Amino acid sequence: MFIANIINYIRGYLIISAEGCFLERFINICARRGILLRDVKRTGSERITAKISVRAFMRIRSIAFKTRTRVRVLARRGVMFWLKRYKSRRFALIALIFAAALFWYATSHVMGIDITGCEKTNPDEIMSGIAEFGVKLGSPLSGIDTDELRNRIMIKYDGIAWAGINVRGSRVYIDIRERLAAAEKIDKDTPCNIVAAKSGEIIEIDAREGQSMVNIGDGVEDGDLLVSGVMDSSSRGARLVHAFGEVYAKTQYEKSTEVALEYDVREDTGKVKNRYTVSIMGLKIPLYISRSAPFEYYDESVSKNEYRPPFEALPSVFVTKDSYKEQTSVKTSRSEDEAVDYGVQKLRELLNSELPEGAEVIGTEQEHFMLANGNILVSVKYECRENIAKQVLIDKVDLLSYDVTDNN
Amino acid sequence: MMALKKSGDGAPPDSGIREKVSAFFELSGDAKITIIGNGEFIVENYKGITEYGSDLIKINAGKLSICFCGKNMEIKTLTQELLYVTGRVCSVTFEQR
Repeated sequence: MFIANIINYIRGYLIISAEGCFLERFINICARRGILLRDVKRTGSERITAKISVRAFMRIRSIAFKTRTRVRVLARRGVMFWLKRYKSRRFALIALIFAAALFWYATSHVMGIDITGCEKTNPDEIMSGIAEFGVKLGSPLSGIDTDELRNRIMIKYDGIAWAGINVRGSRVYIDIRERLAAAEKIDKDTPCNIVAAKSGEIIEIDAREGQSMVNIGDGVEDGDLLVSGVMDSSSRGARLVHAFGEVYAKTQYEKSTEVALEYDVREDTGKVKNRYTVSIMGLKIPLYISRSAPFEYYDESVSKNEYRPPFEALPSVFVTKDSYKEQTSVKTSRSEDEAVDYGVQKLRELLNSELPEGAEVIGTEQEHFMLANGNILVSVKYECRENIAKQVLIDKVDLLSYDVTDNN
Repeated sequence: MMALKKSGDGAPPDSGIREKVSAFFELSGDAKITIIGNGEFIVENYKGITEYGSDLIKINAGKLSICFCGKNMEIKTLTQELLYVTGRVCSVTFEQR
């Protein structure tokens, strides 16, 4: 019955009402002449409604006349009438088909890839990596095997400890957990030496295990042996130990820069020009014509906004705004002292940002002199106190001269 | 003790040759009624509808007139050979014509 109803709906049918005194006769003649009536309902003392096919309706005129029954069409149902309605609206039909195709495409293909949890790894790198495995914007959702994709990502990128892949709607969510870099640490039972991590002048030695090879005031270069893991004594002979402790040295950090006495200053004029680019599924649509810079001097800032439709199956729309602020160039001059102050401040900021953790500034030096081109060369030197001890494994070549026993 | 007389397959014992032959070839002119619960019934080999209402449907089945009484009865399908009705059937009455 269900299938019959579907077929009737596709073919189209009419809902008719028949009014008259001889309705039973009307029904009987219809049945005898092979006219199929469905869902015949008595809706009044002299009125019935029924469903009839379009073709059969053409044949009931004579029966209606014969039985003195008044037949009226109440409604037209089915795909045939529905299509007929849109026959004159071809563009509406085309739009409907296009919308249906778009809906199918949007619900069965990847419309967006969200990568979260990337700190050291570049998300674009992962994006291009997964594209090699067939997961990219527009690829079919049915072909995505999340377990396989996760394994492949973890195999390809060493820095990734775990990856979670979720497909929700038409969007692929990739959650990354990066591997924490394990500190290079030598096991406490393994014999090792302590060497200088940086060049400097030794100011303090606190060797808790191992034989100190330098004295306070000695100058050392990067890589020089500070505390040896080979203990050689006349009573116990040579033995290997795990050398550890701190060796503090006076280290230096120096930076220099050239500062001009006459320079250009950029000032905003207040004029701003914005250029928008809309991108959807990787397709960029610039909403401007001219591609050249709008001003001679300008400051450019780029901002990108993502607009997500409420329905997850649809792709995100990205709007990139290029903002150009017009500037003018004004020639300005400064005195020598101002130039030095400017240079020193800049260099201090730079040095502070580059200082290693644990380094303590114990002294600063600054000097400047005029160059032949009229600029001032400013240099700032930091003297620091820092631990330069670095544990390294004992080179086997060093042991050739000893007859050693490994105590560990 | 009454002796049983064997007649044609499905034909009444006192029927004539015509009935016996039609019964043998399953060409009986009687209507075939199938009632499923009290919600629907199918009448095959009927002659026509003599009365139709939501409470009463009277069917001409040749020698018999079958009267279905019920509520909200509706003809679902109507062809020359078959009548399929749904609704709540309360009683079925047979009348000799």
